[in-house]
Amino acid sequence: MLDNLLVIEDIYKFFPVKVGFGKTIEAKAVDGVNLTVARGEAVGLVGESGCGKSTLGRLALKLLDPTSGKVYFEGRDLNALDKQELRTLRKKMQIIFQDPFASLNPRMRVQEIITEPLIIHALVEKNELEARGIALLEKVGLTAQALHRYPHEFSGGQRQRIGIARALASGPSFIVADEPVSALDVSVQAQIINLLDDLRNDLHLSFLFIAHDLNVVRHFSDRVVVMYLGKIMEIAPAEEIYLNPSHPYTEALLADIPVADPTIHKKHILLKGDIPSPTQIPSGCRFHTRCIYSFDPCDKIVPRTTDLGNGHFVDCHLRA
Amino acid sequence: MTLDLLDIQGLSTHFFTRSGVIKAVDNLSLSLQKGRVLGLVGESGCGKTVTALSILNLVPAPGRIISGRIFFEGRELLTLSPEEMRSIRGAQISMIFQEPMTALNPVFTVGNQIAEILTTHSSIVKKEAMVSAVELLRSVGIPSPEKRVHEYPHQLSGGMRQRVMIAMAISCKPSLILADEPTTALDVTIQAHILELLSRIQEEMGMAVILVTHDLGLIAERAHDVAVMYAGRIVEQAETRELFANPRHPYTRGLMASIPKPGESGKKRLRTIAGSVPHFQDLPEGCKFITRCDIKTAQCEKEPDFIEVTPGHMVRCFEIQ
Repeated sequence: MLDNLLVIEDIYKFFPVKVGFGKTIEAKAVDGVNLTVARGEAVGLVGESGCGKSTLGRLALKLLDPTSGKVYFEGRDLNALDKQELRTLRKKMQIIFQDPFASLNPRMRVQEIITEPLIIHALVEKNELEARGIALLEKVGLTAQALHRYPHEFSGGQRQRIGIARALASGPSFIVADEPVSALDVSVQAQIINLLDDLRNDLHLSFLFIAHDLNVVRHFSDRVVVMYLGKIMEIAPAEEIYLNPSHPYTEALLADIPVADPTIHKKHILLKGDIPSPTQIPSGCRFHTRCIYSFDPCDKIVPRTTDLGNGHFVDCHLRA
Repeated sequence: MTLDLLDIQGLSTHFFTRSGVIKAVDNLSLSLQKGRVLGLVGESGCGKTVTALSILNLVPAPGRIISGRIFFEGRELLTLSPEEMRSIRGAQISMIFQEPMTALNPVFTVGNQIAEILTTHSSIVKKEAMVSAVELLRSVGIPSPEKRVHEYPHQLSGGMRQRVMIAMAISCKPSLILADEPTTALDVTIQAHILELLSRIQEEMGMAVILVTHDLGLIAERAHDVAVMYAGRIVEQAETRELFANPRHPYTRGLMASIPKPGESGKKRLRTIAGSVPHFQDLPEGCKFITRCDIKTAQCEKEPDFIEVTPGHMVRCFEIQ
């Protein structure tokens, strides 16, 4: 049995949306998700914009309170903890954000940014702060010179390194990386992915790696989870999902990535229409409005999860 | 000899800011034939968008085109009067922007915005133009166009808005479309639709397209020719197949190596290009790529020329020449 660091059980998150006077409806951002992350594992979470992947990442860290459902971290129910206990546990769970321009306080020097977690959690004496700051910077490939500078003096890639140093400061065992390379140029993306890979091995970190780019996720993850409109469509080991995508949505996502090789003529799968609004989730299988294989039961019955073996699960009537 | 549709010679567009002159485009030459798709690829800030805006003579202040000549269908664009230029923009050369939400006017219906172009560039009246607008929306695959034509941009999804942008761009049957990152803001399943649509229209109408993007995958699939830009210059140019088969410039090679490839097995270290794109204020002397290059030598202190290494394949690098 795997040692599960994070267990998400049947979690829901609805956001109220105002429509007209005094009337609200619910946007179902996360609509019944079960997910585990084992110690040392990197789980990739993919899906298109608005599928609820970032919301799920925030629920995993209890940065958002779920509408219902439970999150266990190291076996402890995050909802049952009091403020003090939660704060202690937060040392071990951190987040790296997408936009390195928006997630660093422009009025703070790098040293203040990356050592703030150490001060909050009272992890070091004041006279050790600078040394710890330098050690953190070196871990992420920056030098001590960065310590007294401000975020605006750095490029996007360097800022993302500072964000990573901040996440590492309190010695976490679990990190949610929310689109950590989407805002970066291609040549810098590769540097950051390699850095995260090294850190993961050196520090035995577990990751929930959120991205919309399936190629990036494959490179980094042990398992890949595909989400659509708040629900998981398919889970499989990373290699498996690329070789045998079993959900029509996964298949389309993979087929639609342009390949940087003009000799390959890849057939794109053109899905019908647009992603429906999370306030009006289609009946039956929520993907049926865009699915190219949609048949009789799809618009009426919600497909159950089918176990295809080897940790490969899919929610689709075609595979049931 | 075939006459080029577009021929840019020695274009320099500089921005005169308080903190110094930014040479966003510097001595750039580029040509494009009728009906071809040229991919202009590079990372953020390399000058791809400024190049496109220069062609339309729409460079925003404090930017100025300081030298160079741009020939389009034999006419020299930079010498035209503002009125003459206006009659070309939107009619013979049109542009598709990255963010349709900011490029469309939020207070007019999409039908109105398409009709405006038609009535500006031809003698038809508003009523006829609205009929044409419906047809254009239908041709870009918008469902129930009779209804959509009366809707405002905010009522449409991102993919639909980009379709409207395309409908506007093709409304006067231009011979050149500048598509500036047309799908960067869209999800991949929507991107596939938009690109199919663009390719179909491009082939049907036989127009030329400059596809500005940072995605080499898009280039490989959609472009006939590629120009790779770095720090305001074109560092390599070739036919698409040739460029992907024999990338010569170290920057092009680095870019290609740093994309995670779907074909190969997952757990492999990605190759990277050291450092990051230099700021325009402190560009190195000589070859602009010198700070990140792994094959540099002493002669790279001087700027290399853009030289044809094999027929049709141009490279700006001493080591390769």
